[in-house]
Amino acid sequence: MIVRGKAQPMRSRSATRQFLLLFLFYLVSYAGFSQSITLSLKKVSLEKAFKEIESKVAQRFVYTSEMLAQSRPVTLSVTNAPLQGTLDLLFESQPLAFSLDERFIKVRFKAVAATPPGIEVHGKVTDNSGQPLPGVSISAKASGLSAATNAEGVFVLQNVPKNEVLTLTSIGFAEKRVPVNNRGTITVQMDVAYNSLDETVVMAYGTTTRRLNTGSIVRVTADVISRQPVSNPIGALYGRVPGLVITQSNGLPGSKFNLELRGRNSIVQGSDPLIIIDGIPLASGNNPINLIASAVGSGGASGMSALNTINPLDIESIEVLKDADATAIYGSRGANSVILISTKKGKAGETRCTANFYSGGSRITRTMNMLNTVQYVQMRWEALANEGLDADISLAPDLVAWDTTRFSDFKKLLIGNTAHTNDAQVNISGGTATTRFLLGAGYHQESTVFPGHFGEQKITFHSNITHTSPGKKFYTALSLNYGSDKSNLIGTDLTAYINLPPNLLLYDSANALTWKENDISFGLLGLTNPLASLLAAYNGQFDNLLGNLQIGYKLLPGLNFKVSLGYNSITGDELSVNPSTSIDPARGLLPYSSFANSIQKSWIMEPQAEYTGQIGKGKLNLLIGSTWQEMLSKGTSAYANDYTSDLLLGSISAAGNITALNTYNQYRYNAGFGRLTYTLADKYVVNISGRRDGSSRFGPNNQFANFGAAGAAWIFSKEAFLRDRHSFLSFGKIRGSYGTTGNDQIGDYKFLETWTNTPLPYQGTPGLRPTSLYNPDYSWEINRKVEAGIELGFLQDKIFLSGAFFKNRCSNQLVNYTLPIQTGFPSVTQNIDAVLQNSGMEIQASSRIGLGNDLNWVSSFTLSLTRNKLVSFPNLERTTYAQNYVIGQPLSTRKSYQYLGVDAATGVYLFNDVNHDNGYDLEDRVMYINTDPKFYGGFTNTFAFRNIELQFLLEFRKQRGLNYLYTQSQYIPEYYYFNQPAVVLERWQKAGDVKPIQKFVATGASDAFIPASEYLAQSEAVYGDASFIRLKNVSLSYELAAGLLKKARLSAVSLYLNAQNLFTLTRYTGADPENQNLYVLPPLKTITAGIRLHF
Amino acid sequence: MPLQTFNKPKWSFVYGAVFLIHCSACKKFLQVEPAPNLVESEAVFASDQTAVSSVTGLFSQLVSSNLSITNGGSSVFLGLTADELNNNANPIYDEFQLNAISRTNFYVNNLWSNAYKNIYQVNAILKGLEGTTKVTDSVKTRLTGEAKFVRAFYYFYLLNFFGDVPFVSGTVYTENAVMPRTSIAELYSHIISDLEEAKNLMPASYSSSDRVRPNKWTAAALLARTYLYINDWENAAANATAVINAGPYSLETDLNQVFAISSTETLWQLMRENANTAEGTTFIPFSTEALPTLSLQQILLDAFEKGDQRETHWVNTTMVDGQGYYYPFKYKARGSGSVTEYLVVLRLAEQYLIRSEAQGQQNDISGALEDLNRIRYRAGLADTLINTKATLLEAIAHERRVELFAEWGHRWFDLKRTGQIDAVLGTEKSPNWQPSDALFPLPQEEIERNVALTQNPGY
Repeated sequence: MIVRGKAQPMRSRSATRQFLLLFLFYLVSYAGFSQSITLSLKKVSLEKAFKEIESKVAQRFVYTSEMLAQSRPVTLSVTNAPLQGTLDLLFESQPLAFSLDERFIKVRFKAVAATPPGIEVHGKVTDNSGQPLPGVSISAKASGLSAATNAEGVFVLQNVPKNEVLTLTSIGFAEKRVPVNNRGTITVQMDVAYNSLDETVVMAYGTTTRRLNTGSIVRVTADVISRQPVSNPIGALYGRVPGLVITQSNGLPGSKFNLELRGRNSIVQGSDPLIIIDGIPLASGNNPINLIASAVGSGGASGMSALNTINPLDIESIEVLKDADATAIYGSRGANSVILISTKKGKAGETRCTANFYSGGSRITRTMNMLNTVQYVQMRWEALANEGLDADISLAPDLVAWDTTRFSDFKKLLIGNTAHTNDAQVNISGGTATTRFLLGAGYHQESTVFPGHFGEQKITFHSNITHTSPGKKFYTALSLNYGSDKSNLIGTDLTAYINLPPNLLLYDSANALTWKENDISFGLLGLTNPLASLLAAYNGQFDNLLGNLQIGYKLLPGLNFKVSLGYNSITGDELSVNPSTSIDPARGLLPYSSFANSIQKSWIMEPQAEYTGQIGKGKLNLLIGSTWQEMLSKGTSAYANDYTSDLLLGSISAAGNITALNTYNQYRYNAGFGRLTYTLADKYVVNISGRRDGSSRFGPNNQFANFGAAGAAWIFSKEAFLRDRHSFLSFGKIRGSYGTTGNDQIGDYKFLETWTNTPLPYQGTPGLRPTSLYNPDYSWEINRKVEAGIELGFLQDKIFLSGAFFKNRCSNQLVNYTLPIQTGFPSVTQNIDAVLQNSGMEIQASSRIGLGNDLNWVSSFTLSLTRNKLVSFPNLERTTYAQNYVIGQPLSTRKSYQYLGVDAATGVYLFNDVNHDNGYDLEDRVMYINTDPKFYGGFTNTFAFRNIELQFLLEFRKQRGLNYLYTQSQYIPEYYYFNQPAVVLERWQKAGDVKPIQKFVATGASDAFIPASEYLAQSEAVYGDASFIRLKNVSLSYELAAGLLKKARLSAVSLYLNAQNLFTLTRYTGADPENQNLYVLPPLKTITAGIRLHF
Repeated sequence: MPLQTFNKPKWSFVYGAVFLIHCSACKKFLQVEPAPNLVESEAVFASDQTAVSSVTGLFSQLVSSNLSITNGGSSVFLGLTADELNNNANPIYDEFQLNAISRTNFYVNNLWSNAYKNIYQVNAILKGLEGTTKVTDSVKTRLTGEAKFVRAFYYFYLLNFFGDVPFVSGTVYTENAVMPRTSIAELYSHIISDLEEAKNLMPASYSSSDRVRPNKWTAAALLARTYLYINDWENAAANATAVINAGPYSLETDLNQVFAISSTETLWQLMRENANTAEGTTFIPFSTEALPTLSLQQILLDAFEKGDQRETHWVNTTMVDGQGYYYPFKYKARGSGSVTEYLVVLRLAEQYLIRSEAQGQQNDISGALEDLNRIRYRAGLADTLINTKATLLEAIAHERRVELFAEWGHRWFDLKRTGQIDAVLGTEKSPNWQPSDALFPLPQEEIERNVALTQNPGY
């Protein structure tokens, strides 16, 4: 489809004219071409004369202040004269000449014959390592000459005055001034820029620089990403993006990372940022792509991530766009911020090949120790004794009928292994100044901490070709990314089984897996044989193809037309089998399998026109464009059971019974957008953007909405009054923005009243059931964002400090409004007039300090403070949210019982009965507990000494979170057959004991039962300090000496060690303070060693 | 489709793009095809076939959620809260046996939510049928009757589980979400009006061979029970008589056939496509040596008279670790795979016992004895020769206990409606029993979501 849609580049003149007309219609509201002029000027400045003429014609003068300085006063009088004639008269007595076209009157100095002849200068520009630098701009101020280097880094300038000074600039390099001094050949070595102010930063539909950017954009570059042994690019963002909280859902390979940028903007709807890769919105977003549950989970906050099919080492940069100025142009999709991923592009020059290999291992970080068998059995007896009971076959079959001396350390057995990682990458790039290419391939393999051979394997291809026609009129770029991820796992996360009783029998006398001991079935007690889970294999194959074609044409100097076409398809092919050997015979089930196929396809077409030109004294950039996007997702899944043989589990037709399900969602999106940026004297920048959006997710009456933003920046360090007096302040900028964005993450078809077929037929025919409650009137959530920022550079920008203050208010909340089930459904999609606010402050500081003796220290520190607040919620007390939310408090606030500890007399958890009615009820929940991070950030340090470099990142978070007690409302200590973390040994045993854990419970008749099963989880006791400081990343690299390399025909070789999650400092009582669940695999610590070769 | 624009001359493409920027009014582009698995509500009630599917779907939903009110939940949980069943395994069942149910109990939540989800479907069907002219009158009449019958059935069980519950009969969620509890008396009047209407709307014949959809007599049978529960003896007897004399029903002589698919005693049963009954699956252990999840309490076993064939045929035993465990064996099949039994919801034996009790209450001792002895005879027991009203009623209660044990919570409901629950369970279940235990707690979530709801006392 997209191939057919390749727009032809427009070369013909009529095309140019047509587009120009259209363009002018939009962009330029100048009043036509009335060309006859009447003027009367007497001894006025030339500038005044220009202004007079400009007020009467469509054209604008283009000139410099030097020209004005050399001009003479003007006396001129014309009546109904043509413009050409008027200008002829005007310039007659000036040392200046002009040229006239439809838009501009360009003023230049008249050629002066007496100037002494210049010389021809040949130059060659290289970087510090002697590699030629293409694309360097060379300008000569006095003579106005300019040139650029070719692919060999060579430039030629004719007729250069002998004492001219050349200025060389190139992105990423420090500006260099070279006096000609009458030399015919010049060799220049350029140094990499100290500060990153002039580095290109990718923004919505274009690029900018940190210096001139008006919005809030954080950039993470390839250099940072490549130091981290992660297989999902999101894993490389920890601690580096202020405002972004990342939580890994599971420590298994392929699992998704949950993202929250600047807090929750929506009470119920998705808070996932929009993810765009090379201009293409990722079809799945951050939603899981597996239909069948595997050990990584499925649906919602866990599961396989499509981002895992993107090779982190193919990424050039990841930009996170946060404020309205940066995101309003994404309209209804920008409320939760935007993550732009740009893949690597080829560089002109010699063809270069880079190869990279690493290998390493991972183990679990933090978990809890469980009781051993002796302790466990003792606890069980104690629980029975607490209730005056004796163990009998029905009360405690595990004590009576099972061997109580056997011990399995399930934590060690199930999740105590080392996972291995191997990774290999090859990249070839090169090209000329006009055509550049990059081809890359990668292989990544990662196993798990489970026993057995499980894990993932992925293959990625990346290619990028860009071509610019020699006249620079025509431009095209094609990028193709393909990732294929094979997930070979099991159906269940074995971490869920670490609380099985430590004396559980695993093998029977014939050495086969068993499900019973002495006729007491595990299933009867709610237990299972965890090793059987290893036989229930899950295989998922996920392919992700991303293609982007850009075609651009320069219609006029400054006016570009561009169309960007993108296609993304993500397919999944999954099979999970449960052979008879994996099934507890007590369940009476024959073997079964699950099959699933899914595809998510999206295409996007974005025609754009961009104009850049000089208007008055400033630079104007104008962009208009439109978006056409369609996304289609289809899935088929089948549950096939009653197989007669384990051998045929991969064949759907061999099943005795099949239950199939298909899903289908279509989404279409259409928008027009525009942006105007005006930069005056590199000091003042104004940026205005807007978008009109239409989405198929809303009912016919609410499909369209407008969004927009305005941003401004003032680079005050450029002002004369500061520039000279405060030399320690090298850069200073104040910026601000205000605007609106929307959120449409609500799923498709929600505005229809629909029925669907029942899962099971009745009387042999399928029936129908309603799918949801009907509400056709809902519309967009509106997010108003305001931001102010300051950026300061000191001592030639060696120290850099920036701060941002923001306040986002999201109103017209579109919620799955929770309803009592007496309405038939637990929720309905509905707008409510509630306002949610996220406000906060983000601080970033960085420094580059030479410590002498070739030792350099670069550090960077980020700190974010975000506060979420429910500002208003009309009639909250009369809605279904009355018990969930509190006005003026963060959304995560839970009204909880005040915990008074364990009653020393009775050994039972005590809570504050505030209303003294001898029971705990809603009115007693007086404690407001919220689990939002209070502050968080990261501290990165890099020490470079000659060819050794050490970098480490400390990530920190200050927060409250659910501690291990939370799971104890589900697994009440010693109530039946589950093992407990060893901390339960600190329990109450006899009157007078002051302990953190109440007495053990054997049956529901215990007075300690209800406090544990019901009140504990709703009390403040289950929340604890979950703050932590984690050594997130360490990277040590060594660059081999050049002498050795020459012999091996290598241009560079580096050896490195990378590590992730090495240690965590925390007072958290639980497993891992990040995922806060003892029964889900925590993030792993990984150490890898690798080598990088450049040919 | 936007793709067509590609084929037109290239300039129209540019004009198109710019036009779009200007107005963004391409509404047509934003029309998406609905998913193939979704049918819009109007379309459902636009033909006989799809309208029938909406009700077929309702019956399928009745048995779609394990241990919901209509799928094993009544037999299992009420057997535990009363004095029929012992829990041997799943700890969460303990809350029922000990009459210490927590407000957040998962199963209670499921009982409640599954019932109201299906009640919504009933109400949506009634609304759809009312608003359409495209469904044949005879089909509309039958479907309306079936839907009203199901609604009455649910409210009967909800009120006996929970006491006052909100009577939801519309589909407007804004009204339903804030509805308070409706008194038991009012609920009964709604149930009776729905059933009387259903009785008139549904035909006397079954629309299927297996009696898996209700008919006129099914409605009459539930009416008989409802009148019995509100002590309207006359109407209870009249409706029971109508069912007994209807024609197609007779007591099975072979006790092993009472719960068979072809049983002549069945008034209404629910089928599952891929599994045997939830009762069978829950009660029957998976192997002959395995400990049953739930076993019959000794006190119930002791209640069987010597020679009662029901104890022989409807109770089975297994030996574990040298100890015998008895479990309900009315249903003989468990698990999924080949389906040999359906779930019997209403059967004739209960109608005889209803009429017997109603006649007894109206002092027709001989009439009552005739019906009672018919049931005893089938169980292989001698006729009872009682002749006072008090002893007769006691004998009927006893007979109900052993005939209807572990079936749809009859024992629990009987203890409640006859006012004996505190006396009986207060003794048997001391010291755990509290009078407030006669009602289940409303799910805590519901109380939080609807401020108009109140919790039952004692929770």
